[in-house]
Amino acid sequence: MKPLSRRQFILAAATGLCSVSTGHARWSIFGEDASLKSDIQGTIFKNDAPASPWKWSKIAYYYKRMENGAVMCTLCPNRCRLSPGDRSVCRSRVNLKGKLFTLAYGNACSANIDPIEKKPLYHFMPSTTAFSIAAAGCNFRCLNCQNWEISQVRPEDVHHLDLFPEQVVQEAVKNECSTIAYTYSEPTTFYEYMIDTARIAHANGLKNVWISNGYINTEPLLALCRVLDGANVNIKTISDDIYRRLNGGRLKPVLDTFVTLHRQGVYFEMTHLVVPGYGDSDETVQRMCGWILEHLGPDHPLHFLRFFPSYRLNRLAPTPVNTLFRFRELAITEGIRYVYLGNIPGHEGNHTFCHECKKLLVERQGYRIAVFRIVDGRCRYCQTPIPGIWPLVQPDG
Amino acid sequence: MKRRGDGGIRFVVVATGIASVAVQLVFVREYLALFKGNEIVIALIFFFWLVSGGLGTLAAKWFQGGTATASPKILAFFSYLLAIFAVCQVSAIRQLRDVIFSHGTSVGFYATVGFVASTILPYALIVGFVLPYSLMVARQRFKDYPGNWIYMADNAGDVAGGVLFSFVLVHWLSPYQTLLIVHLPLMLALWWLASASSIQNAVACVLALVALLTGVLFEERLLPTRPGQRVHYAESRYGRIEVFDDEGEISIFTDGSPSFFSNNPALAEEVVHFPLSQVDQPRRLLLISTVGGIMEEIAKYHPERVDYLEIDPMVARMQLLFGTMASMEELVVISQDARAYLADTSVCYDAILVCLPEPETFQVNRFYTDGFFELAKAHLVPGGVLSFGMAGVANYISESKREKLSSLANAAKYVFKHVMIIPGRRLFFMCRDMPIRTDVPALLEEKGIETHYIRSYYIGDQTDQRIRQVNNAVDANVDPNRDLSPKFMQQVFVDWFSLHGESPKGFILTLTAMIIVYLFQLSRSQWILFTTGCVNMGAEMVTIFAFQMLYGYIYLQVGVLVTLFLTGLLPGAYIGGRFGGDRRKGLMVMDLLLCLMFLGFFLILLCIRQSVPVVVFYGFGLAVSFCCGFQFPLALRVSGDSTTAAAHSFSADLVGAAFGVLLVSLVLIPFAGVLWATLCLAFIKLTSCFIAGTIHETT
Repeated sequence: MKPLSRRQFILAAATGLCSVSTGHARWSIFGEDASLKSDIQGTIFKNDAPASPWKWSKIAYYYKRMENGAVMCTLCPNRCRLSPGDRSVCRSRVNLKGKLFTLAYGNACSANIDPIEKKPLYHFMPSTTAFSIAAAGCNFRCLNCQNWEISQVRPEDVHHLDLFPEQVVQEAVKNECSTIAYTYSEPTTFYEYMIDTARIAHANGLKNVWISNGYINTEPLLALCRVLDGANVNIKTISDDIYRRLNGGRLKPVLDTFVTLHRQGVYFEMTHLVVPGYGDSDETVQRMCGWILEHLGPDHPLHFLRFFPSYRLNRLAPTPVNTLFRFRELAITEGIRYVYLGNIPGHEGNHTFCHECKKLLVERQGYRIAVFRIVDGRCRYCQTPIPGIWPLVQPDG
Repeated sequence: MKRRGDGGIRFVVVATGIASVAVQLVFVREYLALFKGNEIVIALIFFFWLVSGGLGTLAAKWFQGGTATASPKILAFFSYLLAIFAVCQVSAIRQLRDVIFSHGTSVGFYATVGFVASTILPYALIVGFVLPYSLMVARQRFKDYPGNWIYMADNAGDVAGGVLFSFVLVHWLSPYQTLLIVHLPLMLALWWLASASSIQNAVACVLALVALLTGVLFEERLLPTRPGQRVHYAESRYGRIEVFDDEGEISIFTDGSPSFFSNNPALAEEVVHFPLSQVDQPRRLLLISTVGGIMEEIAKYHPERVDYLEIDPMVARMQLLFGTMASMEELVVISQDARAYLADTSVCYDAILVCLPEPETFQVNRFYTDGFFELAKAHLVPGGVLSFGMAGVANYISESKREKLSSLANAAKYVFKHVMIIPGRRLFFMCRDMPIRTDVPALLEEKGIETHYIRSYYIGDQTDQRIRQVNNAVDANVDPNRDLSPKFMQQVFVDWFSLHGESPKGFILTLTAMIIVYLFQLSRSQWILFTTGCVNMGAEMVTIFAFQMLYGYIYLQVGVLVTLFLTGLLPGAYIGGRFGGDRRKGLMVMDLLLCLMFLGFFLILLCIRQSVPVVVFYGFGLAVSFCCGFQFPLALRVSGDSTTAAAHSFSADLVGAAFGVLLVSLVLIPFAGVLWATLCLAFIKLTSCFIAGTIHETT
């Protein structure tokens, strides 16, 4: 056994004392705090379900019945095992008398008309708008969540609209949106609401995009893929350890989601938020790009986003823009063809260049398209196919 | 030097007082630099300090019960330990923050409670222990040595320590240098303590010196690390300033929070152009704090003069030095509290831009109240605009956000004819007496002003629908954020708990249960001391809060106020010790006097407010602490003045003070306001007066 130095001993003893009192040791004197654990994965909420379903409930599409009235939700990798009266990690699913109900159906807590570029989706119907909806809940516990006021609360605890699937589609049509985006919180947690809306949207000629953390099991994802036209899925990091510490999830299921989307031919882009001090090294980015190239190929656009202090991760400085510039160069050098920079206005990392002839194809000034040189999905100069869902007509500038 | 008749005990107590107060203030600064710097955390620090001290005091009683003989050697040993623990604990606070919690995260209430309680305990416990133990040692030599002398010596040390730290050390020395300086008098006093020398203590003395010097030598290395390279570190009297260079990007951290960045153009554009686009020709501008890159945007309007107010001159200097703020000819940096400045100046401005972050403390909240808005309006030219911001909303306006933005909007609407909220990186409030337009890109185009972010992103981010949503969220029934009743801060505290999924109920219930159990243990005279400690501390917090609200944060004067609250205790205890009349009546009269003083202070705040002369605050502080000091020897004599009674009395005073801190800072001021807090203190002393009336002296 390696001998312990005096310094190590003192540090360990002091840490032990503090750990116990702050909850680090899991048998806290003073309570628990997600910011202090090495794994911040959420836990189910015992006896937190309402007495009966409400107007915005529906029997869940994916679950298994267990012994003694318990059920297991099979929608996401959390696989919450809920006894009667329990609530899932994502807070939107409850076991009521041996049946799993979602409490997030038709009760959108946020509904906005956003430019599609805001999702961000740069190769998907540029210059169009998406009718964007969210219901409360999330299966992650990201310390830097921008939407924590809807993602980390129960559906019953937020103000919401009465917006059932048919009405969502009607609103989207009324507001001349070509797409419905399931976004802001984690749409996987309002899966039934999303997939039912998406089916009706398709029937009405609208497109559907899924803006997600990708934490979903394969079976429900395959069903969803049938009604999806596009997606932007977060790849928070390529490190499982950081997924556990920063997001309360695991890496592998997210990677599986990318592979499934790719195999099913769903168009998708990827987003990576660069958080200073949390895997923001060249080596990590190279590893991430290596995995993407090996399993998904070079054509899926990758967005590097700049971190700003938010939610509980508010004592860090924003990501240095030079780090983002370097990562973009690195990703391009590794072989990813379309690499963008978010939250950095005016930089060329907002524009699309043909990967073959390197000419500027789309110049973006914020959400405005100043230059658009893609014709029938091909580069206007060298006719190289540019991956994406492109409009048949030139988008408005 | 001749040893005094008590063998130098009083020197030791005075020196311990000097060291302990300075160490307490160093601890406060360390916690604020590493945790959220709100009043709850400050209250927790004082609370655990006082409670640990109270436990230490009780421990001295048990200690005596076990061995019967108090020894100067043991006193000296524990006192040397203080110096060692001070260094170790400050280092532990710095190093363990990132070991226990995820780097860069804010920490919730209960985790803060746990961390503060653990890391404060050893030093505070020993400080609490040595006070009654000193009395025991003194009584080994003189059987009738008065307990009040120790109390007075401790107070004298506290005053000296507070003055030394606040007016000298904090200006010139780093934390570890401060620890070294304040422990030197203690070590000197121990050297002269009669019958205290032993090999064990010689070793402890050497170890203490080594620890103190090690801290000084490795000061910067003991700071927590962050991404990038630390290019500057300084301790100003307002807090810790660290400048980091990460891949060419400069970030200035004040008290551990990232406050200024070199590259944040979107925020800079919003802060500047949302308000200035409204004004025809902004010539004179007033900035209250800044954001990175702001001057480049302001320069586009070619103003004649830009006054930049930053309370901490070192922060302004760092900003200019490291380029987070560009220098321009028209820029005038004024190092003063903005409220104090506006109260004095006759200059009027075309625009006043409050660039502070959303208030998390009462200090910052003073710039978001009806009182400040009135002051600002009086310094705006006709058509001028005031802008300020709070944390933004991403895609949903929560109930808490609705309450917060409503309380600010209602306070602003009370003063300005038009108030418009524009959602951006923050929620920007535009206030003026003329209509406000929300088509900012069009306004900028009319003025020929080029922007990167607003031109490109405004149309997608600040849609009419989102602007309408946020302005419609204002609920006219929510109380406005007022100076004396800070509605916004209520919500800030509630938010802090909800951010971490916590509730303070458990803590409050546990504390209430413990206090009730504790109160049942107390004799009537100790009950009086408990309330005395409580109202003395509570009055200090109420006074400082009211003072800052009326006059602004003026470091020197707030320092004087704190000192006066300590200073009055000493003459009070001295005169109380020599009081030869009926002690029961003496206690009752003092309780009544305190009660009347609180009522008087309440009436002054209610009726006169802005015209209250500063001297009233000073007089109030001195008078309250005098009465509190006067009561201590009386209550002590009433309870018998035995060593056990003294330990209980010291303890009651400390625990009462701890309770007072929490009651006033966490409950009364945020949820009831300053006026009700003052009345509540009067009520506490009234109950004490009734209890004093039922006392039957034991001697």
